Amino acid sequence: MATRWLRRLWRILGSIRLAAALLFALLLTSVVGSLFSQMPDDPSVSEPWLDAVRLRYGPATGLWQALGLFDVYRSPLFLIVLAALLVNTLVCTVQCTSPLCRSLTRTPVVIQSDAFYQEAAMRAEWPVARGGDAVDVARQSLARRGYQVLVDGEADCAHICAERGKWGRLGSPVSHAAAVCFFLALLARPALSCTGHDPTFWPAVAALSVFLVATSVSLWMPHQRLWLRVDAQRARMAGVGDFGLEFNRLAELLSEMCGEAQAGRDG
Amino acid sequence: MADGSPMVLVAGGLVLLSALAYLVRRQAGLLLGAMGAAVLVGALGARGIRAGYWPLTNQYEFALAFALATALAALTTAVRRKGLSVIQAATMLLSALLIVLARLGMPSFRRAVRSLPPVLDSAWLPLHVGAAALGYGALAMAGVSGAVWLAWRRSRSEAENLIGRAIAVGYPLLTLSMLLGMVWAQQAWGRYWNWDLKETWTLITWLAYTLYWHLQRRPRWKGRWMAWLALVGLGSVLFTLFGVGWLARQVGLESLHLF
Repeated sequence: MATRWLRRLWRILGSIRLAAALLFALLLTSVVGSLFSQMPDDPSVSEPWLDAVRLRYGPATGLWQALGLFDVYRSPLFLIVLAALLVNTLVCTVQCTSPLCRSLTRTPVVIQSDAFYQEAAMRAEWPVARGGDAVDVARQSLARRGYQVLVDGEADCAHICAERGKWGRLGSPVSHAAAVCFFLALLARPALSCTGHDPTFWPAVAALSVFLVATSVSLWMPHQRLWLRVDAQRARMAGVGDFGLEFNRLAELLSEMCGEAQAGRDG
Repeated sequence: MADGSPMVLVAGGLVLLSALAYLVRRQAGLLLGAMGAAVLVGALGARGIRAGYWPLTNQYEFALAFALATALAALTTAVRRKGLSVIQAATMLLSALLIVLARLGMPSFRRAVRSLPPVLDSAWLPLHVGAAALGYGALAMAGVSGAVWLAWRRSRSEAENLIGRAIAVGYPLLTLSMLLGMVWAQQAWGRYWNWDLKETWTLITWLAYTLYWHLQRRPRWKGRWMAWLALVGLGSVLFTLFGVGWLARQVGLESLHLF
């Protein structure tokens, strides 16, 4: 029972839904903070600073101060949201790493069942006019587009698995790890920095640089994996990954080379 | 004349005409848009030569650079035949509006060529502000694509695809701009993050697009919500550019980024 709850908690802690909620909370808190003057870091000037803002906010100054609106970015709420986002990012990175390593090191399964082709989110089907030629045409066409192609099966029913952007998948966990380092630098900054010296500066710059490169890689080298089954009468294609409109275009192209298109995409 | 002001009006006119031409014939829109962008480059170049610094130092100059980047985003997709003509037309219209707003909506003292504030006399200026302008241009195109998705029922998959591609360009550029800005701020002010109004609103924009990347992986959020998020992101970009000064005046805040 306890194990089940722990597993559930672990899943929730690393979920995209929680990440989205925390990002939204951070966004809202930042908007609120931008609407009020924020107290200087130096505690010795806080009293004169409060006297100065009292002229602007009048009698409401005490209320805004009690609500923490003059110190939003050091408030417990803001720091808790930031720390929770850090935990969420860390857990998500750990959760993704193991399946990703397996996926990167193992050869993908080439032969897939009928049900797989029927239930795939992205799928296409077309009649084949050129028999055995169709497999060679499809293989060459996919290889020209940068896909790594594996072929298996018999002469009357060939299976193809093609993959692109395999290493681009590393971009997501690396960018998440870099984001964790960046958050840690931001959280440590108030405690570590003193006038003229901020030891968190270069770690923050390095973390954001890694984040930038890793994010760009994951956005511009999206992972795409597709399967193609060609028999004497028809070809079936299924895909997983971030294809955008490319899956349908690819299906149209291959069907023009091998037969007549009946491409479609769900989800 | 030497600061390129009349050329800005000509550029605005050409970009506006290209927006209309896109709806009739893509090539005509492309040609007029390229001419408008070239004239705008000339106007910014003339201003830069007269001033003796990169013309990216105040709201007027940045608005023109943003308009140029927005027009370039529309032209790039048109040349590569990606997306819909109506999106390219609407993006050109936004670019023309930015030019008109900058040239006719801002008082002359804010458009005047002034001596460069010492803090801006830095090699980081063209890198930090240039990355921001290019990123904003791509994000503007994403926002316009989102608006077209919501308003127009036809070819929604192409509009959605263009939202994703435009944000895939704009988001890294926005991150690069923040990174370069951090390094510059550390050199100029001794602190790489000050929770300054402009910095905070740039962070808000960045968070909105980070939210986009997280939600676009979820099938339930595809389509309408992604279009809305792209539009909200554009709203945040425009507020960071035009609204922060207004907010600073309304609430009585100071910003190190208001020039």
